Amino acid sequence: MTAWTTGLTDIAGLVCVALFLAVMLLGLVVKVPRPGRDLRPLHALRRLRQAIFLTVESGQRLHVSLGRGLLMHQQMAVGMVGLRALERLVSMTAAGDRPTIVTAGTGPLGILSRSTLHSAYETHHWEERYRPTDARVTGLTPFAYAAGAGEVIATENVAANFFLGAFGPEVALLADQAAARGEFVAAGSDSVLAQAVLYAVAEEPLIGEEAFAAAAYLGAGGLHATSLIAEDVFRWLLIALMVGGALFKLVGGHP
Amino acid sequence: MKAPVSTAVAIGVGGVILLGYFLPVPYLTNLRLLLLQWAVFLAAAALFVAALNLSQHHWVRLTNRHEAGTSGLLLIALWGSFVLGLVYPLHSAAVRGLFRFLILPIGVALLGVLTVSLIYAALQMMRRRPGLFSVLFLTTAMLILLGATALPGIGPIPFLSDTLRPWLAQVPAAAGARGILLGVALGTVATGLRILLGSDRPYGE
Amino acid sequence: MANEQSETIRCPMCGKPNPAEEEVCRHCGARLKPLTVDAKARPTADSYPQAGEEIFDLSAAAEDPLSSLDALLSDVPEGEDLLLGEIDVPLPEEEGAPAETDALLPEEEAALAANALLPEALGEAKQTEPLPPTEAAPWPEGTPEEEALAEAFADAGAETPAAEEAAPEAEEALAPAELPSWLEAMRPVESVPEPPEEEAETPMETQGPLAGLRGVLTPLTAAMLNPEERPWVSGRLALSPEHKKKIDILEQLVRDEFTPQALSHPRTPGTQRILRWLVAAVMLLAAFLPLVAPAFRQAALPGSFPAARAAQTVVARLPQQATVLLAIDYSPAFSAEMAAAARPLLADLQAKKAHLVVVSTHPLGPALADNLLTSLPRPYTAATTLGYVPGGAAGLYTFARLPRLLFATNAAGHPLWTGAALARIHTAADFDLVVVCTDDPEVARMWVEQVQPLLGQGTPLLMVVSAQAEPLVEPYYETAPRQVAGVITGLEGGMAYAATREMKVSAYTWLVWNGYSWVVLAAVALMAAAGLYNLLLGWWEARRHPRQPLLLDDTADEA
Repeated sequence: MTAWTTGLTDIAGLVCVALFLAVMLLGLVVKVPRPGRDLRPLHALRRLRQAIFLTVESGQRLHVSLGRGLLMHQQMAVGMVGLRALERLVSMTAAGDRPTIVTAGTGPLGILSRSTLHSAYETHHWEERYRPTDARVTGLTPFAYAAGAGEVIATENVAANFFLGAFGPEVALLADQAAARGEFVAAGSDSVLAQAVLYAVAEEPLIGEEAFAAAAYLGAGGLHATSLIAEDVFRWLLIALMVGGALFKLVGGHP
Repeated sequence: MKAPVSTAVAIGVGGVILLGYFLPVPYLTNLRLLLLQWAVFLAAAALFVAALNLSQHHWVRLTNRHEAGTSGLLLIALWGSFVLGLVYPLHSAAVRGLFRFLILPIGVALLGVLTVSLIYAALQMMRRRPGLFSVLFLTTAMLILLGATALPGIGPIPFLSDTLRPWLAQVPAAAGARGILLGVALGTVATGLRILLGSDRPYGE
Repeated sequence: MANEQSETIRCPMCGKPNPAEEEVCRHCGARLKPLTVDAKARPTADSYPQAGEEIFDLSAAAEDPLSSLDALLSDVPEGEDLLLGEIDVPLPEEEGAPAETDALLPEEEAALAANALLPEALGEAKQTEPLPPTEAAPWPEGTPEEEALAEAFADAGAETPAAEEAAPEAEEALAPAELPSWLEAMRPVESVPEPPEEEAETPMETQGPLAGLRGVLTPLTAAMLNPEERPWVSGRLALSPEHKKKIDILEQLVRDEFTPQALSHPRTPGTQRILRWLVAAVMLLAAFLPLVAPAFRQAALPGSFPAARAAQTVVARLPQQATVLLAIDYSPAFSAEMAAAARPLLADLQAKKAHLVVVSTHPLGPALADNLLTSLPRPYTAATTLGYVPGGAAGLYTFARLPRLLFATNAAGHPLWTGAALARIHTAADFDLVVVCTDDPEVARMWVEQVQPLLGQGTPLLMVVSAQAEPLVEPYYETAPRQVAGVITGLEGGMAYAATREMKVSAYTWLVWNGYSWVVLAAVALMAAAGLYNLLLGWWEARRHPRQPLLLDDTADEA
C-alpha cells in the first residue's frame, strides 16, 4: 500500500468519525429518541427493569458486574456504558432496602464504579446510603474475578444480576451460579466469546451492540440515545458498502 | 458539568490521541506516544490500586468479624504472594512453587467447573428456551465438537472433520462474529465520542 | 456487655449488631435510620409555584397523558430529562382513542409504566423537587394536627347535602357500580355528610371503581403543593366497631409490609445439584477411561490443519540463532491446553537455537512463561523475560515502537538490551519472528491491530491459540495478504504441527488426546440425549398446559 493510499485511508477514517459525531449531535437538535417510543423494544432490558422493581419490592439487592475492561483498551468502552447504566440503576434502586452492589475485575473499573456509586447517591441527596465497599474489585485474573463475584451473588441477598462489560468465558460461571439460585440474569458483553456462552447460560443475553445500547434504554438520554441513531445510520452504510463491494467484485471489478 | 477542569483535560488528551492516530504529523504523533506512555504507567498503578481495593473489602470483613477467617486467609495469601514476589526472583523455587501448586491448580479447577456449567447449561437449554434457535445452537455446538475430535477406531469423521466443521467455523460462525464485531465497533466509536465530548462521565471527580 | 448492647442497634434486614450512630448496616447496607431528606435540600415556600404560576396540569394530563408529559419533559433541564425520559404513561385502551396516540405508545411499555413511575419518581423527587419527609401520625386517634384536620373535615361536612341534588342526574347516566362486599362494608356511607351546592360543580369521576362519584378526588392546586398553605379537607369519622376492626386489619397489613422478614434465597433444587454432579462424574470418567483401560486408547490423529502447516513452514525458514519475540498472553486456567499447543513449536525453535524474548500483557504472563519454558523436555534457557506490559492496546503499541523505553533494565536492575541477540532490537520489527500465545481472541486482535502493521514483511506473526479463539483468529490467516502467517490451535493443532515435522508425540500427549476425545464424545452424547428429552418434554407440557402469562414474562405486559 502506498503512502498516498495510506494517507487517504486515514483521512477517510477521520471523516467517518466526524460524520458519526455530526449525526449524534444532529439527533440532539432534531429529536432525542426515547425508549418505549422511538427505540425498538429490547426484551432483555425490559425484563431487567421488571426484575429491578421486583428486587426493590422484595427488599433484596441488585448486583451489577462490570467485567474486566482495561483502562487503555477498547474494552473499556463497554465498561463505560456499564458505568452509565450503573448510575441509572442506582437511581432506580435507591429507594430499596438494600443498596446496589457492584463488582469489577480491574483496578480502573473498581475506582470508577465506586466513584459512580457515590456520584449517583449524591445526586439524589442520599449520601448516607453510599458505602465504598459496595463497589469491589473481586479478583485480578479472569477466574479469580469470577470466583469473587460469585461469592457476592451467593452471600449478599441478590435477586437480580446485570453483567455489562468486557468478559471472557468466565462470565458463564457467574451467570450459572445466579441461575442456580433462582436469580434473574441479564448480561451483555463486547466479546463474541462471552456472548456465545451467555446465550447458553444467561436468562436474558444482550447480543452485539445491544450491550452498548443498554444505558440509553435505561434512560441515560441525550447523546446516549442519539448515538443509537448514528450507529443505525452507519450500520446501513456498512451494509450498503459490503453489498456494493461484493456486487462490484462479482461483475469483475478491481478495487 | 461535573469536574470541568478534569473533563477539559480528558477531552484535550483524547482529541490529541485521536488526531495523532489519523494524521501523520510528527509533532502530533510524538505527543500521542508520550501521552500513551503516561497512560501505561497509570495503568500499572491501577493494578496496584485494584489490589488495595480487594484488600480493603476483606479488611472490612475481617474487622466486622463477618467470615473473618476466609478474609484473613485471603489477605495473607494476597500480600504474602506480593512480598514473596518482591523478595525472591521469578525463577526461584518459592515463586515457582507458589505458582505451580496454588495459582495454576485453582485456575484449572475453575475452568473445569466452567466446563461442567456449560454442559449443564446446554442440557437445560431446550427446557429454558425451547425453539428453533436453541436447536440450531445445540446442533452446531455438537457438530463443531465432533469435528474437532477423532472417533475411536475411525479417526477424524469423514466430511465432518475436513469439510463441514471448517465451513461452519469459517463461514456462518465467522460471518456472524464479524457482524457482531462491526456492531460492537460502532458502539465503541459512539462511546469514545461521548467521552471526548465530556458527556459520558457518570463518575464524580 | 450491657453498655455495648445499649450502644448497638440491630439491623432490621440481617439482624446483625451495628453501632448506634451508623446510618446504614455495616454488613448488608440496609438502612438503620429512617430515610429523610437533607434539610439543605428541603424546599422553601418560594420554591413552590405561586398563584398564577404555571404548574403541571393534571386534568389535562388525564385527557392526553402523552402531550402533557411531553410538555413536562420539554421543560426539564437536560440532566433531569434523563429520568423523566423513561417515564411511560399507560394509555387506557378505549374505543375511539386516536390511532396516532396508540402508535406513539408501544404496548410493551404500557404495563411497565406503573412500575417505572414509582421507584423512579421516588428517586427523582429528591433530585428535582424534594418533598418534606412524611411523618407518620397515629390514625384515627387525635393529635393537635388531627384535631385541626377533623375540624376542617367537619366544616366540609356541613356543606355536603347539595351533592344529593346532583345525584339523580348521575344515576340516570350511569349503571350502579357493583362493589365487592368487603369494599361495600368499608364505605362510611352513613358518616359522609351531604355535599353542598357548590360541590355540584366539582369534577365527577368517569372511570374506574369511583366512576359516577363527584368530588371524591380533589384536583391538585398550586396551594396544595405547599405543605404550609395546604387546605385540609377532612371530616370527623364516625367509626363503628366493625370499621375499627377493619382499620386494625389494614394497619396490621401496612405494619407487616415494613416489618423486616428474613429473606431466603431459593435453594438449589436437589435434582439440579445431582445432575451437575452427574455431568462432572461422566466427564471425569471419560477423561480417565483411556488411562485405566488400554482398550479405550486409539491411534488416530486429528484432521489436517493447514494453518498449523503454514506455521511450521515459517519456522522452518527461520535463520539459526534468530531472535524471537514470544508473547505469553493466556490466563493460568488455559495453561495445559496452551502448553500442549506451544510445545512442538518451542521444540522447533530450540532446535534452531533461537533466542526468546518473553513479554506479556497479562500480569501473570511472566510466571506462566517461566512455567512453560521450564516444563519442556529440555528447559529453554536461551530466553530473556522482559515482563508485564501494562496498558492493554496502548501499552502494546508503545512496546512495539519503543521496547527499550518500557523495559530499560531487568528486575535485578541490569541492562537488558546487550548481547548479540538483543543489541539489534529497537522496535518490534527488528525481531525475526513474533509468536503470540493466547486464549483470548480479543488479545489476538490487539496484537494483529497494534503490532502487526509495524512488523513489515521481514517479521511474520504466528498465533498459538486456544480452541475457543480459533473461529475469530483463523480469518486473519485466511485474508490476503495474510495478517497472521500461521495458526496453531489447541491440543489438536499442536499435534498436527508435530505430525508435520514428524516429531515424536509423547505418551502423555497421546493419553491427553484420547481422554479429550472421550470427553467430547460424552459431552455430545449428553447434549443430544438431554436436548431431545427436554424438547419432547417441553412439547408434551405445552400440549397439557397452554402457556400462562408469568409475572416476569413479557407476555403478561401484552396481555
